[in-house]
Amino acid sequence: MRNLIGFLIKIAPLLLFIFFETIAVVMMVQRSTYHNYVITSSANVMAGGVYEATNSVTSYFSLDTDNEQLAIENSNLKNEIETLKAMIVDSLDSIKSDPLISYIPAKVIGGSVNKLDNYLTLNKGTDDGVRPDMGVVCGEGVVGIVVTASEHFCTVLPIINSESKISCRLDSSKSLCSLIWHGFSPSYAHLEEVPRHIVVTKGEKVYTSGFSYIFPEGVPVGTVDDVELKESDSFYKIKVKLNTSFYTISYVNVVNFSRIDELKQLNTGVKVNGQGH
Amino acid sequence: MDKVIRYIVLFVALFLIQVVVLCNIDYFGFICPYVYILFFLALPIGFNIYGAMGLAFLMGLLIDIFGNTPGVHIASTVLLAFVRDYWIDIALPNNDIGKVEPSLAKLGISNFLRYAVPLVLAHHLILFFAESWSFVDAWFATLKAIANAIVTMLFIVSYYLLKEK
Repeated sequence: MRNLIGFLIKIAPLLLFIFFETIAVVMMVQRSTYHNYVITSSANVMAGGVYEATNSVTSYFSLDTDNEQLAIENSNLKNEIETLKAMIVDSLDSIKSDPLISYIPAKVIGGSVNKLDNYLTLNKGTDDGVRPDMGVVCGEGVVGIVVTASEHFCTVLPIINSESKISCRLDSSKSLCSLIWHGFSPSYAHLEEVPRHIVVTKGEKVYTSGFSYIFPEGVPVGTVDDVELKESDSFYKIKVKLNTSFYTISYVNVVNFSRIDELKQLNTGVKVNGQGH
Repeated sequence: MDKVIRYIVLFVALFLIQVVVLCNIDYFGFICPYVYILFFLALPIGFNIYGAMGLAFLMGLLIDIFGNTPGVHIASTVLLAFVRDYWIDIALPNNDIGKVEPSLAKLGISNFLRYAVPLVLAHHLILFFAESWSFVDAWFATLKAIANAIVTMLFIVSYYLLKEK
């Protein structure tokens, strides 16, 4: 008995070590579950507060490029308004005043680009109408999907996360495919599920498909950078240069579909054999 | 008492510097020094191992919360605190210095490197393998761990050099 107690005292540090490591491994295994997002996500009040304080200083350093981007986006939007105005005048009677999509402007206040599972933190939360599963876009293109939202902050799973999967469409063939990310570089991602009978060319544009109700149709994603097709493969290996530069990302828009609840309700009955997001 | 306060300040300062400044450093897409482990290297020789592991768990949890990396830093930092206790006996066998801080000045450069480099490397290896959560990209994770360990060591050595002045 005495020997046993002596033995236990001797290996007590090892037991505590195993206990702590088990907790860590459980956290890693459950990293995708909702609870883990809530516990360790940077949307929680403490991390959000510190990130916002830091951002209030560091945001000054990127004012120049931010302004330039905003100016470009502004002019593009103005041009679009003009063309749309012309179209509306033509068909005024058939237009109903109930826009399906509205945008919630937000600012990136924290995040990473150099990990395998990157996240972004935005300064808008449920009080501003942000909810999980909403898409996030910026002037350059697609950013990611909201995973959790607290009252004033939310966490976004960007394209450059190994768990991200976004439904896309190739410009020329209109073929559907999934955008995924393997790590390595935050400027490149890969397209999956493009069958070999489709013609894919370098430099071709990739857009969101608008399937599911997360992103509107036709948001630019990137351009095809490299196409690879071995004799034995039935699917292409396509490398895509992403439009969004995650190194400098700052101002984004959260996509709010006004009829999302109706669509979700409709889909709970029918399990859609969909393509991820 | 004075010493305790100094360690608390070091803990908080290293944590804040890590999450506010160092985690935003990003050379070549994957270099980011993890200097917060300096705290565990600097703990006095003979420091209670339970205390060291408890602090490692707390630090790991805080870094994980801020970096959205559940469990990754807990696993690697707790391992560092656990192994350190036994590593001191192996790496510094003839230390009759008692409860002294294992700093660069007290150990000398060769002893300090023999003490610190394997610990930093072990921490980084666990960190990057836990992050990729597979052995598929084993060579890439190892390369990342070694490259980052070199950068972390540079930061740690320069901290001690500046402190002496």
